Parts: sequence; structure tokens; C-alpha cells
Amino acid sequence: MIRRRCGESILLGDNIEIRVLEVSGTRVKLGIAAPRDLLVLRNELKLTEDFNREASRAVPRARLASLAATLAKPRPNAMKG
Amino acid sequence: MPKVPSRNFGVIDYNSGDEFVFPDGLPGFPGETSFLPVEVPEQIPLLYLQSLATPDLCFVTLPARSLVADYKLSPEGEDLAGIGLGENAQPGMEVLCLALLCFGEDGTAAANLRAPVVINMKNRLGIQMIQSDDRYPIRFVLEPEREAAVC
Repeated sequence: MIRRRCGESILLGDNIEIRVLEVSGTRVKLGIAAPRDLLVLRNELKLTEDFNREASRAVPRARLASLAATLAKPRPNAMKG
Repeated sequence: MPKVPSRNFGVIDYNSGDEFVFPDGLPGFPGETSFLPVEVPEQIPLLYLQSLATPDLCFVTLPARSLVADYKLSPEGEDLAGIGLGENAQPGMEVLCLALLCFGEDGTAAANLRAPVVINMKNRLGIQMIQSDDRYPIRFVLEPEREAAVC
């Protein structure tokens, strides 16, 4: 674990620098300097790619019908807007 | 009238212009840029997104607000500029906001509320927007217990 303040940075190897640019509340803005060929991704993108691949698999029709039946029932405080 | 073969629905007739166009594809599916929205009347509010390029590719979605009644988008900067929307875009008549569903081995359904599919209904352009805002989870589980509890 490394503690850093705003404006300070860490180095990973010879050519990757991650700098803390801004901290406000629970959010941190990071500046990343890395070689062009290095893929930098937000974790959520990877998780969403994984989710989408999983979501692309065939779903049994019966499961879809049962889910739809459940959703169709009145749900207080839902379905508005 | 164009036709598209599909795994779930056989051959579908549709009007050109009915499809949603995702200029950047979807995460994990960068080449998939055209999806036809398909409603099955007895399964509303489920909405299917059938790929026009790949008959076997069909996502199952739900309107985000059918899961969370006051669901809000948190677009930042140019997040939605590619589909002609700004930072004030919220789900409504002109902005369709869908959560993709995936089903586990045990049939448990989960909805990605963190990265909703947002469609500008004025130009039918869409994007899956990965939000930094962490108020909604990537896997919002539609538990059978929860589904049953609200019967």
C-alpha cells in the first residue's frame, strides 16, 4: 500500500506513471502516462464486457416466460416513468 | 421489407429504420452495430435486442426504470455526445434506458444497471454507457425471492 497526496504520483516500472490529479469526496481523478501500446481500461469496462458475453448466451424460453410472468405482476413503487 | 433470421423468433420482418444503431458496437461486441428491438406482447416489459448481423445474438433487456422506479443516468462530459445527447439526458419518452440481463447456471437473472444501454429515440442511435457513478451495481440480482415477495 502506498499513500499519496494530490499532485503526487507513483511509477510502475520504467515508463508508467499514475498521478493523483484531484480528490473530492469519494472520487479520485487519476492521470495515467503509459506507452501507447499499453491498454488502459476502467475495471467496469472489463466487467461489462464479461457481463455482455455472459448475457449473449442462449436463455431457456421457459425461464424468460417465468421472468416475464413475475415482472408483469403489479409491483408497488415500480414501473413508473 | 427487410427480413432478419433470428434464433429466438425465426425470420423477422421489419421496417428499415426500426433498428437501433450503436456506432461503437457494445463492450465485448465491437462489430455488432445494429440491433432490432423486439417485443413479445405476453413478455412485456422484457425487450429483446436482436442483432441484424448475427442471428444467434439476441440480448434480453429490461427498462432500467422497471427495476428501479427513479433510476437516474449520470452522464459525464462527452459520454453521450456520440448519440446526440448531453449531460442532462434522463430516461423518458425520448431517451430509452435499458439494462442488459444475464442468467446464471441456476437461472438467476442479473441486470447491469451500472452500464445501461441508452438510446436516443429521435435518431435511434445507441450506446452502452459505462458510468463512473457507482450508485448502481453491474449485477443487480433479480432474486426469485424478491420477485416472489412482490406478488
